[in-house]
Amino acid sequence: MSRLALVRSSILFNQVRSLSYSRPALVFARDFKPGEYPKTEAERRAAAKKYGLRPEDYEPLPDNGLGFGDYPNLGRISTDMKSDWGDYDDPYLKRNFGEPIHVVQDQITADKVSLAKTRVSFSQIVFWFLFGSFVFIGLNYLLWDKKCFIPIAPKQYPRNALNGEEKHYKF
Amino acid sequence: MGTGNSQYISTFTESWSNPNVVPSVLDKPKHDSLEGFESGRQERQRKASEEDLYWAKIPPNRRDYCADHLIELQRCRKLNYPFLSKCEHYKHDWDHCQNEDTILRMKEFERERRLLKRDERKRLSEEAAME
Repeated sequence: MSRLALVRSSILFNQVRSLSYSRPALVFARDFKPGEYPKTEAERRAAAKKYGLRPEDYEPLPDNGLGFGDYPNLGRISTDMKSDWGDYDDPYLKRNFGEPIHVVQDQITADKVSLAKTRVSFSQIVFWFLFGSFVFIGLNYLLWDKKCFIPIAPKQYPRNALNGEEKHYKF
Repeated sequence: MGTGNSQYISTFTESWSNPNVVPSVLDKPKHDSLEGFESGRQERQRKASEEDLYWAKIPPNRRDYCADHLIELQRCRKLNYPFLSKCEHYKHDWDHCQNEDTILRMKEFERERRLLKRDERKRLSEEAAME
């Protein structure tokens, strides 16, 4: 277990923890702790180097109050959208050593939320739901007082024919 | 239901549009049972008496015209328990009786329906003649 010997990197710590199922698979490491939003070019390059990205690939999330400082925006790619056949160091996260981790990686693992484009758009979902509900309610409204039944005469019991008023015959 | 037989649906669609043509599912028929039968009709009989039904512990909803076969079936089952597959003959008799009873109910419904339609036709022709 030579991996256990390399305890310096806290990213490796994640992978060892993921061998046991009683702990969460993902722990954000001290190395990747985000700093302030980078304003100068030098800060950008330093941040890119910190996260293991090339400076031209590095793009922080926008600083509009909903960002994460200088944490990079790795795109709307969840774990199930990545190739199943790649040779990863960590197959659960589909991630290699040193690769930056998505901000919401714990939500977008393969067994959780997927960010792939759905076959059906949200507006389609809303439309068909409202359509179905109005059809259902409309049919109920129109047919509320209308009866349907099995077209058969009531069952004949001999106890009703004893007093002679009602008689039961064969055909 | 099949392609050619829409009478199942037309029976209750008619109950929405023309209710006095559709027989009642719950009440007794309006027309006389012997109307139209020149040589009369056979009466339905049940051979088992009320006392037989009491001692056989037949529930009230099963005390119909097939109760004779049901008493035989229950007797066979009680004697042969747990080998109930030996009672298939009596079970078939009872099932056959129930099937015939259901068919007779369908025929009663159809007869009532045709008589009601005939009355409707007469009424319409009288109204047309009066104008």
